[in-house]
Amino acid sequence: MMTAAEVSADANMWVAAAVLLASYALIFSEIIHRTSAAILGAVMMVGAGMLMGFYSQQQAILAIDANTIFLLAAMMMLVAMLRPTGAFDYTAIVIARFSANDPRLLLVYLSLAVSLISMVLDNVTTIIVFAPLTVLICRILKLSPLPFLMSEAILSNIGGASTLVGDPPNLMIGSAASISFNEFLVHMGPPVAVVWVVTVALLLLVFRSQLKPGGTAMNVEHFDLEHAIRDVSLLWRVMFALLLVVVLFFLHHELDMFPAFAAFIGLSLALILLRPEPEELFGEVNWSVLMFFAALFVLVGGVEASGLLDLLGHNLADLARDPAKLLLAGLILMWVSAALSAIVDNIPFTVTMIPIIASLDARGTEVDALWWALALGVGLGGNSTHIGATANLIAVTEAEKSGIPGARISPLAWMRVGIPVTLSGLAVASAVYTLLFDYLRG
Amino acid sequence: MRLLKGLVQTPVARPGMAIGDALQICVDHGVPGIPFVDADGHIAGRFSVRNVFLLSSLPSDMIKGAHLIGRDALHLDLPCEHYIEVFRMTVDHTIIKDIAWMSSNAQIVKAMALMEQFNSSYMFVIDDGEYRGVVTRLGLTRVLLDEMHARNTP
Repeated sequence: MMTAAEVSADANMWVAAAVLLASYALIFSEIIHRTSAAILGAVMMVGAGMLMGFYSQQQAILAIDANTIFLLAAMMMLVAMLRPTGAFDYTAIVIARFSANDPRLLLVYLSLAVSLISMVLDNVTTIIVFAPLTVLICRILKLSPLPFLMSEAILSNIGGASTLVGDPPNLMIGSAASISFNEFLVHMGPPVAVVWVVTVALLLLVFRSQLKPGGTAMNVEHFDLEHAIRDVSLLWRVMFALLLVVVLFFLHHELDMFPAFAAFIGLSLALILLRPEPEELFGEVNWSVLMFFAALFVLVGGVEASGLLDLLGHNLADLARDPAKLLLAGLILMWVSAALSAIVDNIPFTVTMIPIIASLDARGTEVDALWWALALGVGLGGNSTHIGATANLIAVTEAEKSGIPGARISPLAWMRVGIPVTLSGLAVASAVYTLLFDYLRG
Repeated sequence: MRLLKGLVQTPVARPGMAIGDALQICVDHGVPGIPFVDADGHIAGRFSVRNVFLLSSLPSDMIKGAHLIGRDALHLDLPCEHYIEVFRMTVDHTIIKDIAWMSSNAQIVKAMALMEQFNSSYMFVIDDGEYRGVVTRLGLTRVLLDEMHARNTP
């Protein structure tokens, strides 16, 4: 027979689960904006927790991962200062000139640039900046922007998956598991690099008919490189601040520094060097995204406080404790994460999975390999559909806006390329994961 | 009533009117836009020269990267046939719903401030629901310059 306390604990878990599921249903239904839905859910969770006694306001505040929120805010402000300098414009035009009239080279170079930038800056921001530039380059060279936009989005998602700061799920995983920038790079770098190369090869094959040389024969006067950089002095100053941030990312663990603090050191340097108008600069921060993340942390914090995630962790602990089963658990986690990330936003899934894996850690289970599996799954899964990642949606929108005949990317057109690319990427990632399993276990 | 000194009286755009005809009115009267009046005779929006080009010939990537277009990218200039096709279409899908307007007894400074608020270089003068004409920033500047010259003339 159950005691009153056990009945109460059960009720807490049921209520917390119900609020979480209702909130996620509202977020994914898009009846109201996802940030509004998440805030509503967070308020409901705190209210229910206070009424039933399993979640307090203090716990809700502490559940918000300030490292994630502040790091994203700082990077958004740094990018906002970098954009008007014309650095991205210059990079894109130099790449276009460098490709020497070969669309295949143009695709590889543009995708490589976007992927490398996505390793340090948020990949969504990178695509927002590069997508219109790509359309313009294609317009001038009389090429269809479709293969370029799709490749950039797909490969920036893959590139961003390799670093702690490249993708918000990685940041959340790294912050929760105290994984340093270097640790993230050396563990995720090898599988992501192999997946990247295989994906580029596959994209070149899939788009081979649209990448035949023969558009406009380019000459240097097709692009005005002289006007690309708008303010050289501003560019050097903001690049100096960004360089400092990157150096601090590599050293933050040794310096016992949160990545967010490293970003804020660079930001404060940029604020001194550039003296921007604070109101204008803060207006460039995507507060909607930050509030969405904060609300999700509060929501999942409530479920965690109810004991439900701990119970799930308890039930999974036996599976994860056996080394042979741990590999299988990691692979299942990777593929399930990828499948879910294809159809729903990967952030809520990541935020929910983090405390479950953390609870396994608390039970003495080796969880290092599971963190990498989760990061690979959510990072690669979003490529299969046009709604799987924000970068994909931006590419689709930009293609539509271009008005260039044949450039429109329909959901089916995306899946025809995205699904094989994702499946091959996951297969390659699984193979590398299995080969490097002992290394990934730490 | 200083505002009336800068007023330009124009015909209005109506449903089914060709874009080319509406543009001709704007060019003939030297105004960047005219009111769009619906079938019931109510002002339902504005026809804007700028908006016609934005919708028909200026994709957002070209606007964002205009400074990057080199002098040899000649093929980006749209052929005359494109504009003939656009000008034959009706104005209906180019209409902007929000309109900046004021009554004829308003001050010039209010007109200037409203233009800033609407990020526009012109606005409509409407009295009791009746369209009187268009005032433009340039037209109001001419009024002010004329006043200054009048004072300086002995």
